[in-house]
Amino acid sequence: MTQETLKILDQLVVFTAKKEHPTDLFYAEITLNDKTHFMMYRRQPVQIWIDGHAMPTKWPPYIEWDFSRHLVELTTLTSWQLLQRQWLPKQNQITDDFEQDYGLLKVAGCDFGINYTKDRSCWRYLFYEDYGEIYDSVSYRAPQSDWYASDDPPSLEHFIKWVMSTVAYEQQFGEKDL
Amino acid sequence: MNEFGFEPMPERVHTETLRLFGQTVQFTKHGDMCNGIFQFNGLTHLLSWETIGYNRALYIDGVQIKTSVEGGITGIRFMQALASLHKLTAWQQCELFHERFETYTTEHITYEVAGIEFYAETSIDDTAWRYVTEDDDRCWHISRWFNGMEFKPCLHHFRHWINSTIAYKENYND
Repeated sequence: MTQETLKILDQLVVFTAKKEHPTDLFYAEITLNDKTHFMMYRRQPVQIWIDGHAMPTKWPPYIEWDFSRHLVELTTLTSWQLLQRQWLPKQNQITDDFEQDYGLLKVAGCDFGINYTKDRSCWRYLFYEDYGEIYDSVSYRAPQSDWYASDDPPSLEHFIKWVMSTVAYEQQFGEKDL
Repeated sequence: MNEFGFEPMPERVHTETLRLFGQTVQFTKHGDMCNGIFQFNGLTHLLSWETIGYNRALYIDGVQIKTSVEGGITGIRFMQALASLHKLTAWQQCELFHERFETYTTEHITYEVAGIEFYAETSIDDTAWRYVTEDDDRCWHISRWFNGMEFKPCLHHFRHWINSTIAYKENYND
């Protein structure tokens, strides 16, 4: 019996190639939010299945990533629960505006607003521009905080703690200084 | 009073004011020159500038001055020249509300907060410095000037400055 272990949504899952099946097919189960999903894959040519359905693969060598992204679509885990499994919310899971009820928080002349995920399970501080637009691009690196659970709501005290925790100093040495 | 009963019009005097080191200085036009009296550090200076031509030459006590800002804002050019004449340090100029002096930056040392990077910009004479953001048009910010004889930029100072800038604004549109 051959086994392979893949890390799917931050969980180690052992896949087994069973004797009674073609040896290039590996099987495993994962339980998310009390729902068990049956997973299967083949390396040559690459194909993955979840609950018996063939799923497209984007980056064939990294099938664990393909399993994860499809399971995220199938599961009822909240964005915050997925964050606990090292899965960051994607742009389409995040609201494209700021929570104006919380006002703006300022540091060093820069404004930060509160930005929630669509399921409102978590939020972050996000750099606020005058025109209030959040760029819909993963390459856009607006200053932002980590995500926080909704039961730990934003406040000025929380903002101060976050800001002060981010203060850092870096000195780059030239070759002569090394 | 003339034959029509009108008072003769008084001669029109052209005056302008400049704000120099926190003082308002009045200039009066005489021919092609504007002249004003400026008192500073116990000395009285005659300041003049040409009102015609592109270069608008400036004079202090009758001597034409050269500044790094040519043909630009007259007040800044006067202050640069006066600062040089009175050997004012950059920090003394800051205290007199003049912040146009030569600086250098130490871009290999960066300070970071909330994903925003700053470095220190220091006057050539090391008497004044401030934090400025990296070249980023999303969030551009500079701190006030700090006295280089009292503090040097360091993480401890940066932390205190950051703490002093934290604020809350209830309404987005204010």
